[in-house]
Amino acid sequence: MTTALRAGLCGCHACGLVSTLAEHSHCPRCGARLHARKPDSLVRCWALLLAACVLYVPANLLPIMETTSFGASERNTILSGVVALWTGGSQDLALIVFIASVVVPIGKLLSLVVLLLGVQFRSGRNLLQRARLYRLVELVGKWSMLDVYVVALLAALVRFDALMDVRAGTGALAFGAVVVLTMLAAQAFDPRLIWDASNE
Amino acid sequence: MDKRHPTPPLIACHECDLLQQAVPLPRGGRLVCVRCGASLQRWAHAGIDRPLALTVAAGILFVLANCFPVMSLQFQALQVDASMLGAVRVLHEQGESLVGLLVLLTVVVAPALLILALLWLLLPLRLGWPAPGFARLFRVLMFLAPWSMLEVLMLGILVSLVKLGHMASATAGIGLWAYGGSMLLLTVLSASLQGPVLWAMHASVQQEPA
Repeated sequence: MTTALRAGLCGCHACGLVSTLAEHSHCPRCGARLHARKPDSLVRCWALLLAACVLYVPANLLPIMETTSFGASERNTILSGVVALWTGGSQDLALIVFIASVVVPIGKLLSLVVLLLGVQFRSGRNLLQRARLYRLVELVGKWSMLDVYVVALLAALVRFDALMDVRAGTGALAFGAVVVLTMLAAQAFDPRLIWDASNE
Repeated sequence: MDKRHPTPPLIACHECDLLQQAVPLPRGGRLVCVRCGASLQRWAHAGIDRPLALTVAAGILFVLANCFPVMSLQFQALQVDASMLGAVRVLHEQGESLVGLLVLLTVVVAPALLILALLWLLLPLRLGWPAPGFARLFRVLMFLAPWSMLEVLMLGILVSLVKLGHMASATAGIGLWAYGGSMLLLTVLSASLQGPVLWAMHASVQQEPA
């Protein structure tokens, strides 16, 4: 078993064609830039992850929407929105929103820290589990966007002036930014680095 | 035989970099990395008609999805319709332009560009022409794929319908069904369209000068 890097080869990240690194700086088939490992993967991933962690605080503390009905105003954060769904009798839906908006973002932030630390300390243990963790992070990433869409739709629909009105809050922006940043962080992370430790 | 393509074809696992030899895929089968288990290749129909038909259908539905409201809300004698573009405009008016931009990019711009890029790749292949900018478009496609979030939007619409059901009568609009259909077709398409197959077809078109 040998890796492409050891054999002096490189698989194109865009089209998959394997070519020799010494001869080509760009993929001979699709023209994408070739690199054996994503450049500055760890630094970029840490930076994006850190930014996501910082924004995660306002994303949860600031209201994602403000509901006004008959003069009474109510501000909902991500968590209070889940609670409102639960007490409103839609437990199943509350669970879906809870998973998408709370479990997935926190799980993603923690998973990326675990993956980055594992690579940083050149850990050779649990390689397969960490590879699967990375795949999971990539798979579930976009589902956190759920709450942003719900806010957008409610704001667009509930517009009955003084009777009932929904406005998007700044929390929605912070939350959307967290989702985008964690997706970018997962894209910046190079899973091949996990396995490089086992080849040394 | 082209020197740049080693035979038998080599695959470098995109997740662990292990070099492996590709084997012909049985119908419905897929190649999995022996070390890390990442999915390397999936069997796909060799023909171009199927992915092209799916793309055209997804495109038509996607246009409809953006022309009609996805949901309507009735409260006493008032009715409000909302399309996705309308939702973006409302967010902009409420001073949350960036949230609007995020919605616009992930459910309108990214899927639209994805469908256009697919048409640009597939239509010339079907007609036997070498597509101009094929390689560049292929890379655009790879870049766009994770940012198209129609399936998440569908769940968002479902959650909104239930949430609104508590305060007024909410109904699904034509846009919702069109979005749903478009999403399903694009999902089927991504399973039936595989990079290696596309490149093989592109290579065969280029070899026969028109």
